Amino acid sequence: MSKKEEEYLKLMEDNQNRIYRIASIYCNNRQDIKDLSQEIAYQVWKSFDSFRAESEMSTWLYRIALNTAIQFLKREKRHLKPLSYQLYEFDTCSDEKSENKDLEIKQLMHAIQGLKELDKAIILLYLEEKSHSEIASILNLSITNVGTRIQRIKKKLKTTITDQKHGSR
Amino acid sequence: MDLDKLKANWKSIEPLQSDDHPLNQQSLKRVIGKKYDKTFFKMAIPEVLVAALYLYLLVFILVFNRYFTGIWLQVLAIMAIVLLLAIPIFSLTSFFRYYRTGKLAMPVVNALETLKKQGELFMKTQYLLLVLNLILMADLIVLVPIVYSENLDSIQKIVSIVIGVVIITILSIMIWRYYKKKIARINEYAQNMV
Repeated sequence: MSKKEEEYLKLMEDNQNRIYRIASIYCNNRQDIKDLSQEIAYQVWKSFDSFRAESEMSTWLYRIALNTAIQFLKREKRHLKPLSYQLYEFDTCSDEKSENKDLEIKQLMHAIQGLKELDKAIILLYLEEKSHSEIASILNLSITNVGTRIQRIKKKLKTTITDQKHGSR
Repeated sequence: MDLDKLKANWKSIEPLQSDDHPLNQQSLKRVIGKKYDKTFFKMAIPEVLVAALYLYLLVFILVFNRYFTGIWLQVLAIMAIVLLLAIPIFSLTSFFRYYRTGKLAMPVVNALETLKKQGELFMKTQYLLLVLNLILMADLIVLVPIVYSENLDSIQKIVSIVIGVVIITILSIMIWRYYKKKIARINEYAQNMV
């Protein structure tokens, strides 16, 4: 195995769950998540030679992953299957309180999946605990714009979830 | 639940079974060993099928040219011509359909803008090709009866032109509806991006 292949496998090993989470935001069922994760892995491999140390490895990886996800969604939109929340598994017990928590998480994920592509990317990076300046660098927005957008998205998600709750009653 | 609570739980989102992780060592080794872009094959398969169908029809027309005369020959000729025109249109639209943003490592906003521009270019190209296709087909409806004028009397010519017009009208409506749906989808997607 060449040095390049070893470096690539190490990078993927370190980031496999990160890529999986990105795919979970953009796809609705396990098969699509699997396809998208593998597509991202393939695009990372294809672009591996082009990586320059100008930006951080994680910034570079997020850009490729998000751009691949957006293009994958555009290409496969017709074939994507309906929403299924069975995918998300959290460290919770099976008591009533945890079930409520699971439901709330699922409602929030549903609301996030309904956001515009850029907003979805911003929220994903926010959930990944990226700083405003890192988000700005990955997306090419100003730091102020990132902050404003995050506040706006939070409000939007709150409204969507409230509407969902009222709708289900 | 608000976003900050989800943030606290976010990293616990993992595949249900770790053995079945889409990026396990085995699948990553397959990625490294992959020599060709599967998108190319996705694009090439319908192209090859259409080309094969066209060649089959061409052979069919050449062989049956001996047995069919007059109006049937003309109907088959129009079908072949329509298919002949459909191939470059199909190829070009497929190219735009599968065309990708050059550098995936570019910042996401720039990539989204590139995609939007591609969508607009795709839409303009489809409209242009549609108009061009209709002009060429209309032209051929007139040309074909003249080419086969020796074999046709005046009633046959009128009937054949009527059949040609009907075929082209149906095809035009089908193509128009197809483009309309596609363009609506592109617009919807573009609005949903930023």
